[in-house]
Amino acid sequence: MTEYAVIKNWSYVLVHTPEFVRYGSKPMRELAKNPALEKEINSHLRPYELVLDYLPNQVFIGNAHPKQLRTLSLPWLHHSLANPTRWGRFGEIMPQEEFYALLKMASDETSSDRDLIWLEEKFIQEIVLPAINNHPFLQNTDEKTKIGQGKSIKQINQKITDSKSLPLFYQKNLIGCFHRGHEEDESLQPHILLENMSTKASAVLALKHMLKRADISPLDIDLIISCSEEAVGERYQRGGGNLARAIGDMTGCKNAITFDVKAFCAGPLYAIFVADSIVARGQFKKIAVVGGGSLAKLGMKFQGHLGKNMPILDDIIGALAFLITKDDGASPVLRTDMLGTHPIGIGNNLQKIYESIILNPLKKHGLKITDVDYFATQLENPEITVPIGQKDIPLENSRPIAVLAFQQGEINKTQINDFIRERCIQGFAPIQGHIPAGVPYIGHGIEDIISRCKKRIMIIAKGSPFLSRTTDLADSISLVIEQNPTNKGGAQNA
Amino acid sequence: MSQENVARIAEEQNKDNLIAIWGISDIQPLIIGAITINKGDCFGFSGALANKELGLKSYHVLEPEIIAAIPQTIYAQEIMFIELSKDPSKLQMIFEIMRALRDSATLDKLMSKIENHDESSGPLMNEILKSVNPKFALPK
Amino acid sequence: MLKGKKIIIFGDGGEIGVESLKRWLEAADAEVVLGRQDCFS
Repeated sequence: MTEYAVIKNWSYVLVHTPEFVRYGSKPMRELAKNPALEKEINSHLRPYELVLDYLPNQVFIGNAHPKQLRTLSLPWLHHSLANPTRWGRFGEIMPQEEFYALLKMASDETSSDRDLIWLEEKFIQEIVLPAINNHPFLQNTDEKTKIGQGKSIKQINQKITDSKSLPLFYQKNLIGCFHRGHEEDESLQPHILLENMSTKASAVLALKHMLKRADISPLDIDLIISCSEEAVGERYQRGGGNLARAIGDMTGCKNAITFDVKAFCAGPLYAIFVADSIVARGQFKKIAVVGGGSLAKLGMKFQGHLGKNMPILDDIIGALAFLITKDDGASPVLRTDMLGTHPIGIGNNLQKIYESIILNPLKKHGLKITDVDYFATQLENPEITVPIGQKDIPLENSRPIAVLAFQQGEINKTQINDFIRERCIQGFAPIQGHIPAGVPYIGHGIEDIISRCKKRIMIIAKGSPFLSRTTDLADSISLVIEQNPTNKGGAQNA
Repeated sequence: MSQENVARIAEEQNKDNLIAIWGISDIQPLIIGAITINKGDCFGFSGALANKELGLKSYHVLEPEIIAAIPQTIYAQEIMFIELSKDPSKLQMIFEIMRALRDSATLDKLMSKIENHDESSGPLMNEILKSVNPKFALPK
Repeated sequence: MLKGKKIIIFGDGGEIGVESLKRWLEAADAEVVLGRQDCFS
């Protein structure tokens, strides 16, 4: 066995949250200026069936390979699939009514501190409980008890009036509300807490799927790292962190220690890098890296979608989980000795960045750009942006790789488009910040190496610390995942 | 807010010698910005440039005449890679749009289209794009 | 064409940000009088 670590298993889930779109950052701000937008937004929400019957979503949960997207021209919305299913090889696409159950389980009615969400009694009895009846991960009696009996619509309305709780909807009906955690604390206002709880709940779902796929008990996990995009905290520490603890607690990982890694969109890759380093020391053997979804990004491009009379495509949150262990002799290895880095001094010069994260690490190990079979950059679904006149994000991030290969003399200028088409993964993930940042391809990519004779893939993520206004700098990182040397009998490079 | 600062600086400077140069390559914000800084805010952002015509012309930094004015060493070290990394047909589209928006006759025609636009005939941005070149219409 | 000109720049927050634009245009003997890392929306 080598000294490398591996991603031994993974999961990817989507949660359909159409009636949370109103609480996404962009819709919330626009609705405050123009409440009449509510009607328009509501009339452009996709039903769950169409979320299932959509190739990019099926790719995300592992039921189709990203390469299939290249065989279909946009619009993908109009392309109906043979047998779209909610269950994926890598996870699932959960409907909204089940997510309400998960949210309720994530809070705890028995504790006055965390009695954060009220659901209407009939909604619970007639919709939520029947909906989760067959879900393999939602049958734990203790957790189901947390759903409780619910409240009357009168109590809910009163709470909204008295305590400014956020109204919650299902099929346009008021069915609950989400409370603040403190009267004055900005960090504990209802829309912030709803955001944080949604991240927690979706991360738990992803983690449960990963444990099932890996066939291990929650008790086997000894470290959980959350790389989610949220800011759990309170008035004295607005980004206090350790959401990993909440995620691990709800999943039953009683033997795990926990902490968070934050680096904007590059969070997941940095978290994997950290897990890799820790596994190398030997003390921690099964590390879960989890990323919950981002409610704030729901409806981000809603204005463009309304303008084109398209359904609002930012109606899903995504979550993922990875299991990192030492080399198991079979899984492709994480070449963190070839980590593509973007030190501060590189600044924002595009050429220097791409050389630093792609060219230099490969060159140092005697490899060419064309020795990498597939590159996965930001993988946002282009159908969200291109029809409304905005850029194809994966394409814009992939082109410079091809230009680098041309500059290095590995391909001709006329081969740039072929390079992109053959080696750069098409986008298929929701715009969820950290979720699409290269990592949605990891599961497919590992399978490409194990079963489809590929040698190595490169996952690339870009972070945007400049958005916080504390710096003008961008950030990026890349990670090569490579065929396990044990499988090919020895030679490490090329 | 963006519009206030721009209005203030424009008042302070000699407008004959003042231009705007854009680094953004998203076409819609680029069009909105270039029109706003020339003819005023007609897109409803209700900023300081509503009803204020500054008359400033806009260029995209990658347009040939701007590139030609920048020293070769800087171009080679910093700009060429960025230029090569952009979709060439998209760049051509940006250049054609920026040229059109600098042409007074074209811009005046466009302004009357904007003022008389009826949303039921389709999104305003699509009308603007089609006016510059019918091939630029947004995908259906 | 840029020599002596006064310029308002709009960066894209990424590879063609305000910092880069300022540097390139000042190298062309222009004067950047205002820089915005966004546009008007």
